[in-house]
Order: sequence, then structure tokens, then C-alpha cells
Amino acid sequence: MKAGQKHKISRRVRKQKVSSGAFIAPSFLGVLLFFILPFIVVIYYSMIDNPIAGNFVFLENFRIVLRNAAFRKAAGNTLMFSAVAVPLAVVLSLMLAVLLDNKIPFRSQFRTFFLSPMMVPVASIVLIWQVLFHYNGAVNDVMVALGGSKIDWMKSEYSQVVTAILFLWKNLGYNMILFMAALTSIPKDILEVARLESANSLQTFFYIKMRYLSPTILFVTIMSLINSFKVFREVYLLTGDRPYDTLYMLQHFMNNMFKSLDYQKLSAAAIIMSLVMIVIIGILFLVENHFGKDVEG
Amino acid sequence: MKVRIVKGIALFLSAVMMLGLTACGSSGQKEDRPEFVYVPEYIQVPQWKDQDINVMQMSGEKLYYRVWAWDETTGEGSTAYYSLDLSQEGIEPAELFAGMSDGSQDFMHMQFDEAGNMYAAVRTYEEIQETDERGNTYTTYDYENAETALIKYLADGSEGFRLDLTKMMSEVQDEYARYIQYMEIDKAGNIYLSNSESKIWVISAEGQPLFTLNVSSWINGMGRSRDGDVYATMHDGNGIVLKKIDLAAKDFGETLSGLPTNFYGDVQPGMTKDFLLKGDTVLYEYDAKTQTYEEILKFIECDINGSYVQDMCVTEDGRILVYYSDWSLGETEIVSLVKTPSSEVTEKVTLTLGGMYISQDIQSAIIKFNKSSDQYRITIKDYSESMGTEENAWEDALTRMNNDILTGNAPDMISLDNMNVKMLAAKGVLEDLTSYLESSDRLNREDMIDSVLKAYTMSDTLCGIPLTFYISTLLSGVSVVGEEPGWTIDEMIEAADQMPADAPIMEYATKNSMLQILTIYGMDSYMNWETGECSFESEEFIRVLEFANRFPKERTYSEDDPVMPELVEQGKLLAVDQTISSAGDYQIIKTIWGEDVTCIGYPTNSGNGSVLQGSEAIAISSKSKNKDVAWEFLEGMIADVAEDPGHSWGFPITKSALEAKFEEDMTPNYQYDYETGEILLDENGKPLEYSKGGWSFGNNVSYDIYAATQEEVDAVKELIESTTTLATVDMEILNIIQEEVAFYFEGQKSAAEVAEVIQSTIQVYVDENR
Repeated sequence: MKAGQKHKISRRVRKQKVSSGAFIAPSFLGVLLFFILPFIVVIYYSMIDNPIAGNFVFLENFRIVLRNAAFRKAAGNTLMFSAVAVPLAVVLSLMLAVLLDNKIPFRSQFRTFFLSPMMVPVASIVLIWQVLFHYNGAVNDVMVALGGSKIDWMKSEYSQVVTAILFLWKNLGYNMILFMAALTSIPKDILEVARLESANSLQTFFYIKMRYLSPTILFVTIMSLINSFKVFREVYLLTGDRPYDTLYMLQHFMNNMFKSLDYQKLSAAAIIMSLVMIVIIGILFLVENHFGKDVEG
Repeated sequence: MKVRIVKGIALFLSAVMMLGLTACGSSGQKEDRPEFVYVPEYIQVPQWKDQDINVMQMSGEKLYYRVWAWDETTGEGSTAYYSLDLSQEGIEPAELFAGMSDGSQDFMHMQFDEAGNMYAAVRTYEEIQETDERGNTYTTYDYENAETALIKYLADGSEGFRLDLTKMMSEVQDEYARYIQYMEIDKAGNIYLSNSESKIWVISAEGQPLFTLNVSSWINGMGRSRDGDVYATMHDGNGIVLKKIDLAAKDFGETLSGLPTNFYGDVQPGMTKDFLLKGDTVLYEYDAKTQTYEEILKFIECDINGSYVQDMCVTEDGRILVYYSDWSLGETEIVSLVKTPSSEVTEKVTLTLGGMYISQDIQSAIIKFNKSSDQYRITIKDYSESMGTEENAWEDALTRMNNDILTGNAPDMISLDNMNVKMLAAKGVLEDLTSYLESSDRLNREDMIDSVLKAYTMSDTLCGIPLTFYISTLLSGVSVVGEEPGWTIDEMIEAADQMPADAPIMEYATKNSMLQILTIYGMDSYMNWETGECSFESEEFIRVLEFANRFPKERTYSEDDPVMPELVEQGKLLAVDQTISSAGDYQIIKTIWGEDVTCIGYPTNSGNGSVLQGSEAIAISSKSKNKDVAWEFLEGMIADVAEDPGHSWGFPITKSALEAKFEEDMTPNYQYDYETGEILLDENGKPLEYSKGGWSFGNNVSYDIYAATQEEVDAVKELIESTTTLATVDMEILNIIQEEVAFYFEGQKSAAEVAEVIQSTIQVYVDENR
């Protein structure tokens, strides 16, 4: 390559870099301003004794938070909820997607039915759940009418079940659409070959479809995981900032710390939570890499 | 080419987004100092010194007032009317209607027009001569057959017209509503009268009735627009509105809404827009066309306590003349507010006093400080001021304050009224005032009441000092609860079980009130902050719930119900819940009980059960850059009230002032014979006393307060000395209990079931806060 040509290429690369930088700058500034800087502030708060005095205490707040019974309860409840609700959300939505991928009657109507909860505002969803599961709500009325006794759905061991149903009802449709899109993108010739090779439906599903669906499964799992952490919003609207202890989530802990001016505990908890999320998502990536590497370009 | 166009558009959009981000950061900088401020200039009226002034109206640049005087020689009172022309340099009052006598007339309301004529709604009574039990004759008035008239007094003192309103007023069904509360005159001279409750009467300029408007809602005020039309302010269901009184239609005309939330009805003609609307703290100008308003000024920034503004008007040159009377400072002033560019006003170092409620006394003290300081100025940040009516408005306002504290923008001083003092102290928000108090020139640490300082010492920090205080406690006769103060929940329930079956136990006791009394300061029986253990599932707590459940859900009040003293006499009250703010309060409870009483307190495992409540306590922020100035203000305010408690309610916080108060409580108000000057004696030869006040229960039972005995004063002193707990209630815990226990009180759940939920929820709360 001649020297002049090389110089021309590097100039073009530099020009491209500058223009790319200009395009990405607004987004980068936004991320910097609204995510990175606040996160740095949170790290700062997690290492001082309190925002008023501002004395550096290094990891003392993390020690306090990890030993705090309320935090441990919140973390346990949140993990338990995610461990149950996320797999359910992935498996059930995948099953629905596979079902609706076949030529069944009222396919379009079913798809609309499962997507409709996405259009309902959270406040309305909460209202519906209150009408249904309040101590004097519709479900208990039916139970009493059938000769049973009332259950305090939101203030008993059943509260996580009710919340999990709410979570699934709200999230299944979106996950299902993602899976349906992924199913339609599986190469038809491979499925045709499998059929010619006498593979049955189960074999086709597990050995071919699942391989091609693995990036979508990872994406749906991550989204469901994030959404399972965000179920606090519905729980808060249903039960306020002091729910029954099985519904006490990490965000309850943080919200209440904010109200009692315990920024240092709030920040330490937020960092612990984000570290756990990073680890979980990292593991999911590794799993996806392992199972899906042979179908990715 | 096409690619270049797309790239160009994308670059342009990127640049726009970048500019948007830049704009976010720079806004608000210019708002630190407004372009114009209103500078107060004080107008002195030497003739007002030592006179009993009642300013009636400000109109144009004239102020009309009357002076009431007592003639010692004749033993009669007289009223004189004056006007002040505020546009003149040397202000000289001009006497009006010379020689006019009020006599047996009651001037309900007066209004002046621009020509200086006075329109007065006058009630006239017939004189009656009556004789008292000692044979002395005295004059009284026949109030039942009073006649009401609207009289126009011309500027020369003669009568312009007299319209008998008696018949018109008789149309008002409720005889107590037959009065004139508001009067206004429109540009054509028509007169508008209202009793504020149900009627607006419109009278022509010549004194002829034109029409009457019936109003279903309460009328908050009447005022003129800039065009000279008269509007009434009232609620229309959605909030306060201005309604035009339409002369042609003889009905209400246009309705104007969108008024400020803290405007209650005081309307004046506007400067450049239609109306000036006076709120408690802010003056607004309102535009009728757009139905929008803008803030003109904050009264306190003009060294005026907005709540004490009696009247105001706008001059042609744009000054705002304000007449205000601050009874807490004993000041009556006319202030001319002159619009001045901020650049021409010397800037002072600003300190902020913030809180969820800033009392009138604190505001007056701020005004006094601001007037006297050349270098510093205190401003107010009342977080509850812009609070709406939504359910979480209070919490939102509190969050705004907490955010300011945590982001380093805490006010220099914090009003502790309605604040969680314990939490603020624990978070290091409040400066320890001990060293300031010890080195104070005006306050003597040794003279301060120890129990008050102890109550306000939290986390080893003297976090605030109140202006006055009082004690909340339960009181009962010694025969019922013994002589020793303090009891546990179990002991209280046990004592209650000894009462007759139909005994209400406590006055107006309901399920919720009893539960609150039992648990408000007795929570330490079921939770241990040290170990974090809670035992709300225990048999003891379930017993408390069951005990509270014995009481009625609600109390229906009937005039035939026995009142508190009667219940005590029948032995049906275990104790009374009372605030003690003077020896007189204690004396009355003792008189009612007919024996010595014990301040037994609220049930608790520690202390005497009584709690101390401070009034208008102020703290200094530990992050303030001007702590010494803040202390100077605080010290001055506390010292002023301690030296002269005046109208302040409650006990003063210095020993010397408290002793003086007790001395006064113990000094009898004897009845004297005016002729001989001797103390009057009763049939037993005991000096007759006037009462110092009293309490009434229902229609027939009342008790008077007389000079306290040394024994009563000693009992109150002992109560004060032994009460070192500040009345800070953990509302979070109370709310958790009350919310859940409602299911038990409604009969929907068992006591054990609600106790289990309470245990679960409070346990998390306790864990969070350890």
C-alpha cells in the first residue's frame, strides 16, 4: 500500500470516528448524566456514614446492610419471587408461543387476549387485583358462597402466589410475542430436513428449535428478571410501603430507607443488588454461549 | 448525495438534542434574585401613639380610621373619625363627622366612597333602665328589638340618606345571621351588602333597594375589580371562585376560577390586572380574561406578617399601601411598598428557616430580626405551603424537605413543629445547641427548665429549644389510682376491670381512642429496639386488643349524655386525658375529682408516662454556614418570650418566668367595693374573688379557676420536673396497628389473626431501623 493511500484511509477512519462520536454524543451524555453520574453518587453515599456528616467509612455500610434482618428478608423474598416467577414466565410464554405457532382456531384472538394486559395501566391492574383479592374482595365472596372461609390473600403466605399470578398475567403476552418472532425466524429448510429424517415433534423442538431460540430465551429471561425486580411497583400500589413480610421486596427496603433519610444504607443495598444482577446476567450469558454457539453466525 | 442529506439531518438532530441537554443545566440561575423587589417604607403617624385605633378602610390614597376614647371624668366612651391623606408629605389626620356620636348605635360595617362619604350599616337599640340585686340602677339596651339601617353620612357630617334594613334583614331565617359582614360600593355608587351566610342585598346610590341575591354557599368576601364592578368570593364545589354581581341581570354574572389555593376571599382592585388577591403570605394579581394569576410579592420579604394585614390599596404611582396590625409584637403600622430594581437594593446574607409549619409568632420574630439587621436576612421556606389536597400531599411535602436536607440544601434553621425530631437528631441534621446556650449573653443555662432541655436532648444533642411547652397526661383521683405516678398497660387494664360494667372508663372512649391511649407510649412493652425483638403475637397484646374492642366503635353525642364531671362523680371514669398548661388546668381537674389527683400518665414501662410537648421549637441545621447568626435569632426570640410571655400559651421555658407565671396563678383577683375600695366578703367572711377563667361542660356544668394554692402549684412543678419525655409518637407503628386492627374491630378477623399480621409488619419495620 502506498503511503498516500494509507494516509487517505487513516483520514477517512478518523473522519468516520469523529462523525460516529458526534452521533453517539447525545446518547452518551444522557447515559452519563442520568445513569453513570448518579451511580457514582450512589457509590459515594454507600461509603459515608451519613449524607449530613459525610465521614468516609469505606465498606461499613455494606457490613451493616448485609447483617440487617430487613435487608436479608427483602433479598430472600426478591430472590424467591424471581426464582419462581421468572422460569414460569419463560416456560409458560414459550409454551403459548409454540401453541399459537400451530394452526389452531382463534389464533389471532388468543394472541390479542394475551397481549391485552400490556395495554392496561398499572393503576387499573392494581385496582382489578384489589377488587379480586382484597379481604372483602370478589374471590373471597366466591369462596364464602361455596362454603369456604375467607383468606387474607395479600397478608398471608398466599401473597407471593397472588403477586406471581399478577406478574405472569402482565408479562406473558410480551414474552410470547418475542418467542413467536423467534420461532418464525428458524430456517424452514432445517425443520424440513428434520421432518424427512423422521424426527418427531419433541425431537424437532428440543434439538432444533430450542437451539435457535436460545438467544431469545436469554433475552426473555433477562427481561423477566428485570421485570420481576420491578414488581415492587404493583406490590407498593397494592399494599403500601409496609406489606406482609413475604411481599417485602428489596425496593421496599430502599424506599423506606429513603423515607428515613438512611441514604447510606439505601446506596449500599442498591450496589449489592446491582452486583447480584450483574453476576446473574453474566451467568445467563455464559449459559447462552454454551448452548447457542453452534447456531449463531 | 442522498446519504449526505440523511447524515446532515441526523447531525442536526444530534445537535438539537445536545442543546436540549445544555439547556437543562442552566435554567433557574437567574431566578436567584428577581428583577424587582418591593421595599418597605414606614409611614409614621405620631397622633396614633397611645390611641385606641381602628382602621376602617383604605381608599385611593386615603386611610379612614376611628379612635375610641374613654373620658374618666364623665365615665363615658366616645368615638371620633379621621382620615389620613397618605399622598401628602407631612401626614396630618383630618377629623370627620365632628360631633357625631355612636350613642346606642352599633356600627356593624362602614365603607367610604372616593368623595369621602361614609356608608354605615347601623344597628340601633332602645335604652332600658334596670336595677341589680343591690338596688343600683344601670342602663342596658333592648337587643331583641334592634333596628338596622344603612346610613350615608356626607363628608360634612350630615345624613345623605337613611334606609331602614330591619324588614330586609328579617327575611333571613336564622336570627344570628342578621348582620352585615361585607359592604362594597361599585363605580356607579351602588351599595352591596352581605351577611356572608345567605344574602347579598344591592342598594342604589340614592338609597333604594334594587334586588336581593340568595346564596347557597358561604360568602368569603366582596371586592371591586379594577373596572369598578363588584364581585363576591365563594366556594362553588370545586374551589373558591369570584362571581360578578350583574346589575342589569339582577343576578350573578361571570364566574372566575383558577384562583390561588391559599386565597381565602380578600379582593382589591388590581394594579395592571383586574384584581389583587391577598393570600396569607403572598399577594397575587389576577387576570379575569385569562383566569390566571401571578405572584406580586411575599409579605414576609417586605417585613410584613401577611396574616396581620388589615387592609391595602394601590396608589396611582404603583405603590402598595398596607395597613397592618401585629398584635404579637404590639405594632400597628402603615407601610408603603415601593417597587424597586433589585440592583438598587443592598443585598444581605440570607438565612432560611424551613419546616412543615411556621407559626405566626416565628414569622413576627423573623420580621423583627430582619428589620434590625443590616447584614443578614431570614427567609421562610414552608414546605407545606404549596401542598395540595391529595392523599399523600403531606408526605410529598416532607419528602421535598428531606431531599433538601440530604442534598446539602437544608434550611439554616428548622422549625420542629410536626417534625420527626428523633429521626433528624439521629441523622445528625441538627446542631447541638448546648455550647451556644452555655455561652449565651441573653439566656442563662442555669435558669432554663432542665426537663425541657432533657426532653429535647436526643442522641446526646440538644437539638432544639421551644418557646413554650405543656404536658400531656392522664389524671385520676388518688382513691382510684393511688399517689404514685406511672403505670403499665396491664395495671391500667386491671384498674379498668374494677370499674362498673356500664362505665365508659375514659371520656368519649372508642375502640380506636382506647387502643391509642394504651399503645401510644406503651409500645416498649411489645418491642425491644436493642435486641430487635417484637412480641405483638403475645397473649398480652391480644389482651390489649380485646380490651379496646370492648368499647363502642363510635360515640354518638347527645345533649342528655352525662358530661365529664358527672361521670367522675358517678365513679365511671378511670382517668381523664388532659393537657396541663397552667396551674388552673390542674386545679379544675382536682376540683372535678373532689380529692387530690395523680398525674398517672399514659401506660408505659418506663418513666412517669406523662409527655412534654414543645410549642414553636426551632433547631439549627448542622450544615448551616451561619450558625452564629441563626443562634442570634433563636436566642433573641427565646429571650423575648421568656422575658415577656404575654399572650403565649403554655409554660415558659425559664425558671424565673415560670415562677412569675405561678406567682400570677396564685394571686387572687379580689372583688372590690368601688365606693369604699374594700375587698368584698362572702357570707362566711371569706374574700370574694373574680375567676381567672373557667371550663364549661355542656350547658349546665361549669367550673371557674381561682387563685391556685401552693399545693396545686407544687404538684404542677413536680409534674414538669419529672416529665422528660418529648411527645414524639412513632406514627408508622401506630398506623400499622390501626390499619390492621380495623379488621378485628369490624369483626372480620380474630385478635390473634390481626396480631400475627401486626407482628410481621412491625418486625420488618424494627429490623429496618436497627
